[in-house]
Amino acid sequence: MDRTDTASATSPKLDLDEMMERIRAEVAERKRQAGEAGPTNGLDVSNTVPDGTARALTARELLALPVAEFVRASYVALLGREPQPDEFTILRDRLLVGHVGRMRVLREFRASREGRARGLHVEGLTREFVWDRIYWSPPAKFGRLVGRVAIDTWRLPRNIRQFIARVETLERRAADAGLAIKAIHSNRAADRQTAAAHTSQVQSELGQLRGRTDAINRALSDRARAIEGSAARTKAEIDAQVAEIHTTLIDHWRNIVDYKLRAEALLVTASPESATAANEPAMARAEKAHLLDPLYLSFEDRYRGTRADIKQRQSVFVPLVDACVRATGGAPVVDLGCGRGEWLEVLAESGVAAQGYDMNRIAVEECRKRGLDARLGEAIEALAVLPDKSCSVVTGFHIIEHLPFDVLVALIDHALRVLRPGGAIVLETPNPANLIVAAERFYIDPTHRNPLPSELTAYLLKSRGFGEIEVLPLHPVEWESRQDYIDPMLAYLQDKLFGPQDYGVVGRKGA
Amino acid sequence: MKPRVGILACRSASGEQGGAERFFVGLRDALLDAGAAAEIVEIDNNESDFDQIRQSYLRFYDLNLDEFDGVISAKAPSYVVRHRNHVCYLMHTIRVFYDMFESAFPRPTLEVIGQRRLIHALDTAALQRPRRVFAIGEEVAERLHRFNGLDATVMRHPTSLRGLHGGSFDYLFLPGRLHRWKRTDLAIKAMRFVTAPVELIIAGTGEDEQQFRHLAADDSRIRFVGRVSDDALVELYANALAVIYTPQFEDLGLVTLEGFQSGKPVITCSDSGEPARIVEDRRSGFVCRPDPAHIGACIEQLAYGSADVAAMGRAGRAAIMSIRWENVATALSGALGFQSQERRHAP
Repeated sequence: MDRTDTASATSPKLDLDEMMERIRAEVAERKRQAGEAGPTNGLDVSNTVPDGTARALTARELLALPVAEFVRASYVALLGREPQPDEFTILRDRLLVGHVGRMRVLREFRASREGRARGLHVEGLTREFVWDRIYWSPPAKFGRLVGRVAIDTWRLPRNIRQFIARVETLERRAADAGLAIKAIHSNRAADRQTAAAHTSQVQSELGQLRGRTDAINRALSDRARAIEGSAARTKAEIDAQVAEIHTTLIDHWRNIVDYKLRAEALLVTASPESATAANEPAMARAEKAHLLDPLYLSFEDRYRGTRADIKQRQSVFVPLVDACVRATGGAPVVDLGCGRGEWLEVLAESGVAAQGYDMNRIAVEECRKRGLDARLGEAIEALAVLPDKSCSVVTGFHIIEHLPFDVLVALIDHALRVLRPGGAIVLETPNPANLIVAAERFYIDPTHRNPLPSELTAYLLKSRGFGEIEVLPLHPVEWESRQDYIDPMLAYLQDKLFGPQDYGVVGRKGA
Repeated sequence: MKPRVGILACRSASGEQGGAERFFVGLRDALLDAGAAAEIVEIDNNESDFDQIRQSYLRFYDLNLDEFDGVISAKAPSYVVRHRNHVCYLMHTIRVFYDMFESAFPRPTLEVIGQRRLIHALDTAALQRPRRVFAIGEEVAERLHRFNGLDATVMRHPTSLRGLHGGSFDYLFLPGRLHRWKRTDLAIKAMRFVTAPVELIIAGTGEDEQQFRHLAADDSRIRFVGRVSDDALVELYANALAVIYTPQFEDLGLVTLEGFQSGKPVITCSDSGEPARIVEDRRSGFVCRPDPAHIGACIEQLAYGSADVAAMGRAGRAAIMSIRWENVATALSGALGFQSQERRHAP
């Protein structure tokens, strides 16, 4: 808050009574002004002196008023009315520039028809007229002229003496000034040298200072960079550790689920009614099939991508699914090989009813924990038990490359059977048209069988009875150096190496 | 013979009734209880323009109150009164020339700077004359010291609202004049940061009411109940979850005292003046930054029960136990040279 100009700080201590009396005077003055400027017209105007005694102005008082008030008061005194605004302005300006004199104004007012008609009396006005006339009469004028000449003549010798004295003083001062200027000239050269010396000294000091400032700046920015670097490193380390701990945690959880499921199986085996010799090998086989469940799930976590990424990628199919669900009167979606349930979750968020099947019981357990409808079972077995025309869409993300050829064909046949007319099958699989996928990425998953070219998949769907077939190339490599090559060879190679890594095939079931 | 004491009150030209009017009645009753023949002398005061302010100063200066044995002045400009036995219990000076100057005149002309200088000089000279100067709060005393270089004894006074009591803890309550100095908008904006389904009830009317209503229009939790009777006001206090009171540089802020007396926590701001000195942060309420987000966060704590509302209210009530009219009357009578007589009405 600005306190420098508060009264107590700067102004001298004033006496309260003195200040209040000053305010009393100001208030009275304001009231007087407000009263005078009040609206008036015609004969109502009073022409009274400002001290409040109800007495008309005398001619002498009238002549002593300031110009504006004189104009107003003259109108009131001689014509008995306020001036019109333009009358007021014209007369005031003429008086101000000296076009007319006050006596002439009063004389004209008095002599005008209006003035004569009103015939108002102003005390002392006639006397003023007479004096004015005498003052400006030729004998009086001549007399004043003679008087002035006589006085000037009488004063002449004294004026001349004064003039000479003044000239002498000026001469002396001029001489002094000349000497002073010479002295200044001689001093200036010396000053200039000193100034130059000072300047160069200041410049060199400035240079040193600038050097030091630069050094400090450099040191500071080095330090800042170092701190930023180490902070970034620390953060990256912490992030990596958190991620690792997270992975370990999930592994532990899966192992626990695995042990739990095995323990349940053992309990069933141990119960007397199931403990027949014939049952045991089957149970053991079933258990053996699930031995690698935790391992495969951890593998997926590592190579398939984050949950958010996958959900984002799969959401491209949502409009298609929506359309099919509507076309089939709201029949459910069946997802084969639902895995960790990303797609089921996308569907749930879009309000589509769906059920998923997977043969990895830990994955199924994880889906259930998320509140998704997932069931344990092989894709083909699951489809086989579904009634005819009971589904809107059958989806399979990255499953067909795991299947033997006969099973794949059976799966397509069952899908066609369980779909309602207007429904569709959606299959996504690695795209061997991308050479890196075909040569390397595909084989990272040890449970993959053969890469399936999109022509093959499309042909299979077509030949088993699906109507309209559509192939969607998906997920091109995010490659920063991608360019629009004119050279056809370069363009072809770029596409073969960095093109879509997966493709989706959609087959629609006609009416 | 009881001493006759005149309490100089200012009758506002706009005729509005506020906390100040209650104050004079409370002070008179307390002096009557203390055995003085106290009367309220109400004189017109007009602050609508500087000419009127000058006339108002003159009106109080010219008063003849010789018939009284003692005179108590409180509000600007009543303390310019001339009397042989005069004590000032300062509520406030004309605040637009003091702490509100910057906000009232962001680009002051030389004329208003001159006016401010005159008012400061008048007040400084006038406030040296009373036998003693008390101030209704530290905020007022601190301002008097800062602007006028004068010292005053701090003596807070209680509310004159009777029958305040506790009750349930249902809604946020914000009473008072709806004026930008009271910053009702801060509380309204704070509600945007509140997720709890808690209501904010705003009681009172004022110049900026339309603007505040407009600001609150899209929040159905905010309710304006307008002017309410004393009885209704007491009940509104009684069932509040907490009282919000976030004015700027408030002189005393009876709302704080009334909230505490009803056993409620009070949310106020660090620049709210006296309330920020009365409320103890996190013990009897919250002293927030004047920032809607921060106020909102405090409301959340109260609404979701992570702060013990009742305990805060109790702490507030305990903190203001010593603020009593009886003490005020004793101190003022003593300063006027009268013995306070032990002749009180039954409570």
